[in-house]
Amino acid sequence: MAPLLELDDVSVTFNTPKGPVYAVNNVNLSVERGQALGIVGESGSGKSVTMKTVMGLLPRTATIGGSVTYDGLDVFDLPSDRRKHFYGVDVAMIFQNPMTSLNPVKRISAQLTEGMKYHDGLSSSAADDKALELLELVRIPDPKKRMKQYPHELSGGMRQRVVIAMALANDPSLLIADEPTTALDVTVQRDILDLLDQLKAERDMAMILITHDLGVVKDRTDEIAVMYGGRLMEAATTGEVFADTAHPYTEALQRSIPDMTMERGTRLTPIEGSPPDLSIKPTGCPFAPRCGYATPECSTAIPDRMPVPGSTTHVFACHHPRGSAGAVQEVNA
Amino acid sequence: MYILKRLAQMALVVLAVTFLAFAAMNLLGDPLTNILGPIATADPADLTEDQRADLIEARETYYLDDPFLVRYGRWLGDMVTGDFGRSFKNDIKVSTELANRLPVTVFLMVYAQIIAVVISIPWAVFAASRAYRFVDKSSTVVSFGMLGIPVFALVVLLFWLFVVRFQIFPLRFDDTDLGSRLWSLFIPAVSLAIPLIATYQRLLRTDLISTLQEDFIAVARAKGMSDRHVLFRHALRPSLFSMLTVFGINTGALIGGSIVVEQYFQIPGIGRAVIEAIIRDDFPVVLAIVVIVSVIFVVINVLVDILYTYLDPRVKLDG
Repeated sequence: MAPLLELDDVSVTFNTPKGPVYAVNNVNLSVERGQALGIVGESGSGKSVTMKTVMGLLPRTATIGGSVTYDGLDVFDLPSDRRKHFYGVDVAMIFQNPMTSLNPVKRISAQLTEGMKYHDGLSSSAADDKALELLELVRIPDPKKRMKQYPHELSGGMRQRVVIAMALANDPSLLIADEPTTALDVTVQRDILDLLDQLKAERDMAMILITHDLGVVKDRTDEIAVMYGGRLMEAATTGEVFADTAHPYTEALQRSIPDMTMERGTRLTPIEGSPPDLSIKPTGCPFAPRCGYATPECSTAIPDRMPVPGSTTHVFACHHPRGSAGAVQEVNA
Repeated sequence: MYILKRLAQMALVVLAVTFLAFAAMNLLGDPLTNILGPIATADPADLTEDQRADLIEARETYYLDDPFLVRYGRWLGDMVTGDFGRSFKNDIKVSTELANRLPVTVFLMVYAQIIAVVISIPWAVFAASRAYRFVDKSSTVVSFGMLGIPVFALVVLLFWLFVVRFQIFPLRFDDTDLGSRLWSLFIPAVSLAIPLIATYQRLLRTDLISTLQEDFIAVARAKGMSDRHVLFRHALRPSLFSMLTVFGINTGALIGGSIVVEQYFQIPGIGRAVIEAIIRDDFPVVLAIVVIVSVIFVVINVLVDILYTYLDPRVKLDG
C-alpha cells in the first residue's frame, strides 16, 4: 500500500533580493498511516520549510520542485473539491510557538469552532459541544470557562493544548507538529508530548514530529529523518538510527543529548561551528566543515543517498559512514 | 472608572479651549466696535444723544464694563446651560443658529467618514493580500496621488466635472428628505473623503501586511480557512489600530475641510457659519462654534479609546 504522505525529491528555493536561498534540496520522506515520523535537525536545516511546503504555507518567493503525494493524490494539484477540505481535515499542523499561534482578539471557542463550521458545516451549538469535548480530550482544566476566554488569559501550556485541540477539530489523518514543545516550560514539554502520543494512538492518526532534539523522538516515533543544511542526511527506522548510526552528523547529535543513564560528570559533546549559509550552493557535503571524519573529498563531491547494506529502510548520504555501512565500505576498500 | 477619568480630562481640555478662545476673541478686537461700528471709538462729544444712549445700552447689555474674568465666567456659565448669547449682527440667539447649522455639518462629516471607511477597508485588504505586487504598488501610487491633491483644488475639480460639465449632481444643497440630502451632499462628502480614503488605505495596508506575517495567520491557513476568511475574520481586526487612531484625529481635519467645502458648495453648515462670523467679527458665534467643535473632537477621541478595548481584549483602560 502506498504511504499516506510521500515527498519525492522535494526542493525549495527562496528567491530573495540578495539571490537564491537553497532551503531544501532533494528531500525524500514518507509516512505510513498511523505511524509517526520524526524529523530532526538544527535551526535552518530545512525541516520546517519542508513541512510548510506540504501545508502550502510558503511565500510566493519560494520555488518548489519535486512532488508531494497524499493518499496517492498530487498535493500541488488537488481536484478543487478535495483541496477545500485537504488542509485542516486531511492534514492539520501544530506550530512551534503557542504564544503566537492563537488569534489574540478571538475567543477560544470561536477559534476552535470555525474549522468545524467551515469544513463540516456544523451548527454553532453542535460545534460548541464538540469544542468542549476537544478541550476535555486535551485535558484542559475548567474547559467551560476556557471557551469564553481570550488567548492571553491562558498559560503557554494551556494555549498549546488549545492549539492541539484546534488541530484535531476535523479528525485529521495526519498531524504535523513543528517543534510543539520548544517554546514551553520544561515541566510542560513532556506532558504535551505524551498527550500527542496518546492522541495519535487513540485516533490511529499519522504524525510528523519536527524537533531539534533527538531525545524527543527516540521513544515516540517509528521512523526518523535527520536533516542538515536543507538536505536529508540519514533516514531509517528509529531503532536503526540509534543502534546502527550511519551518518557522523546523527552521531554528533546523539552525543550532544543528555541521557538519564549517563555516568555523573560525563561531558556532553557539542557540535562545533555553525550551520551552513544556504545562499551558497554547496560543492560537497554541507556538514563537512564541522565533521570530525571529513576528508578533502567531502568538500568537493556531494555524497549520494544510498542504502545501508542489508537494510531496506535505512538510507544515508555520507562519504565516510559509521556503523555497519562504514564497516562494509572498509571491507570493499 | 476609566471613563470617569477620561470625562474629567475632557472637561479640562474643553475648559482650556473656551478660555483661550474667549481671550483671543477679546484681545483681537473691541466688542463694542463690532456691535456699534465707528461710533464706539468716536469722541463722545461728537455723538448725538441717541448714539450716546445706544453706547450705554450696549455696554450694559453685553456687560462690557465688567472685568475680563467676570465676563468669561458669565459667558461660560451661560454656555453650560445652553445659552451661547446673541449674535452681534442680527441679534438672533446663537443656539438657534447652531441648532440649524450643526446637524448639516455633522451629517456631512459622518457621510464623508462612512464613504472613506467603506472604500478604504476593502481596498487595503485587497492591496495587502497582494503585497508588493502590481495591484499593491499601483494602489500606493493612486493613494499618494489622492493625498497630494489639496481639498480646495479637489473641490473645484469635482464640482466642475460632476455638477457643471456632466450635471449629474445638483448645484445646491437640498434638504427636503434624506435621499435628497445624500444625493446633493455626495460630491462635497467625496471631496472630504478622498484624502481620508488614501490615509486609511495606507495605514491599514501596512498594518495588515505585518499582521499577515503572524503565526496565527499561518495557523488559520493550516486549518484550511479560505483566503477571504483569513483576511477579514483573522487579520482585519488586529490591524485596525492605527487607522482607528487617525480616524479620531481626522475629525479635526474634517472640520477644517468642511469650511472649504461648505463655502464652495453653499452648504449652510457651521463651516460656512464660522467664516461668515469671523468676517463680521461676530464673537459669540465664533466662540460657540470653537467650543462645539472642540467638544466633538474630544468626545470622538474618547470613543476611539473605548473602541480599542473592543478591537483587542488585551487593552485595559486604566491609565
